[in-house]
Amino acid sequence: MKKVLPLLSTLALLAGCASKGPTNLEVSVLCPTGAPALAFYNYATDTNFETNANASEGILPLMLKGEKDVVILPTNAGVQAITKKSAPYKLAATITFGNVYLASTGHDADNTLNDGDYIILFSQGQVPDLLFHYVFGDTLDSNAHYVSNGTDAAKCLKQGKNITSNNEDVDYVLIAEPALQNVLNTTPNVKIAKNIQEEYKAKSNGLDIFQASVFINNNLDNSKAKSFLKQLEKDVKDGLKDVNKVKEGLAKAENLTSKYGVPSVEVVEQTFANNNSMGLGYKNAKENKAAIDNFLSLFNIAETNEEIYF
Amino acid sequence: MKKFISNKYILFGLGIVLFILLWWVISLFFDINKMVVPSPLDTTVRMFELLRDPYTFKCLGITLLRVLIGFGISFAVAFILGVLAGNSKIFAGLLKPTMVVIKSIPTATVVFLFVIMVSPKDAPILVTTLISFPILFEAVTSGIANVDKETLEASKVDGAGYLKRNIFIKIPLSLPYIGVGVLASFSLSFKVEIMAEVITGNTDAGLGNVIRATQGADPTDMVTIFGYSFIAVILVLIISITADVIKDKLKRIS
Repeated sequence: MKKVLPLLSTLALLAGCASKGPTNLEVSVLCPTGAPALAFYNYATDTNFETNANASEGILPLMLKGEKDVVILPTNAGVQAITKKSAPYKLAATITFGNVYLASTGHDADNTLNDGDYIILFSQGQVPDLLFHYVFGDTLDSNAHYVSNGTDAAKCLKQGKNITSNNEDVDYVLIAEPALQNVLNTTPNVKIAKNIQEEYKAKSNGLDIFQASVFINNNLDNSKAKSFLKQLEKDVKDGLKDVNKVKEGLAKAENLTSKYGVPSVEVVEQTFANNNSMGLGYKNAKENKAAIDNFLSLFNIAETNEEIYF
Repeated sequence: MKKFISNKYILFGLGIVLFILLWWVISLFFDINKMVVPSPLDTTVRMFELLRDPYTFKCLGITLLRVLIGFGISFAVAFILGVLAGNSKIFAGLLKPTMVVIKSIPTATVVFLFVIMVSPKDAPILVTTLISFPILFEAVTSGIANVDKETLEASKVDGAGYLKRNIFIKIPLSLPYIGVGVLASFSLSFKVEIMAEVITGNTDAGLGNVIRATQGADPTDMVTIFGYSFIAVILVLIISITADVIKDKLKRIS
């Protein structure tokens, strides 16, 4: 046993360290895959930058333990972790501003979104569903049908049918980027019918959807945190100005799909060209408290206290 | 002819043909734009494409390594406790409730628990350890407890003590039981590891991670997901057949 344990420990170390490499980030960052991860296009091979595909199961527990210097989470989940579970973090900035669209399959005869159209929604009670109902209320609910997740929604959009139910013809599907871009690339009839972000903004006196935010660990040195945020803001703005910088950075990832949750560099380029349809950006959280409170009200979260801001 | 058909390898081959035929028939009904159940042909073509990518082998290697670590830890603990339980009904009785709990606890709960306790990266290793442990423990316990009583009596008469009886008689004679347990739990461990990787959301290399990432990035691409799964199935099949052949040879030697 004495001989076996060191051997197993070595193997465990090997498995754990299989992807260790150089680092340029001074702080450890844990981020969900998808749109928020794109903000970190410069750190594809940086060992201090980790991603996780399941925000609630893979990131939230580590936030509660205070393990990482910086975590990126849906704003509602992060704020609730701070206020209800005393997670040792502060809300510093928001880096994604919504990526939800209502796409048309081309089946709607009058080509106008109205009550009675067959609409597919997904993840009942979650962000996309809440945004849809914030924008449209219950005016489109009479023939709205839920599928369990974005995966099924994308399949329904591609097929133009509700493949989870009776294969009925579908008129509109609520879908998020980058899945939408993938379907747009392969299914000519599919078109964007409504940009939920724009609809939300129109209904909220110009306020944006503050969807995913940067949370800074209370124990992180203040100057380090500020320098990180400054660099992140610069990276995001540079990337939005010149998509080639993003492409160059992402191309370094060993496996783009795994690390960033996007299918290809080309799809990222298309979403940037398509009016930044992934909703990437950078805004200071404290300066946009009203917009954050407005977004959080979707989840029945009370007005935030100044203390939770960095 | 009857002898030819009843040969276990021929039967196994026929079984594979039957399975592929069944898969093909199902895919005829559910292969909507390759989004639900892709055909065996599409899957095989995609699998070979994936095998041309070195990252696939890295994922396979890392997952296999994690399974071996988890399984190794499980086997070491199960072997020690199993030998003790096989020799002592009291010890076996004391451990029984723990084994029942481990066997019945939902795997997803264990995954979430280990994500919090360790990290999303290492949780699958511990999940594999925990899930394979009761099977291995029972295999060792049953093997030790079912050793022929007359052989044991004879060894006692010859003056063999507790340790000698276990090392030279009980453990060697219980190897077939242990072998069956190892075989059964290894393929289960492999499946559990992949499932745990999917749930934890870790994005380092790994078969479960790459399956989840593929599904997340392009939800309509079931061919790639089936391709990766097919690689996992073939690997477990190769390991099972190799273990079966080794077991047969050992039987013949003994």
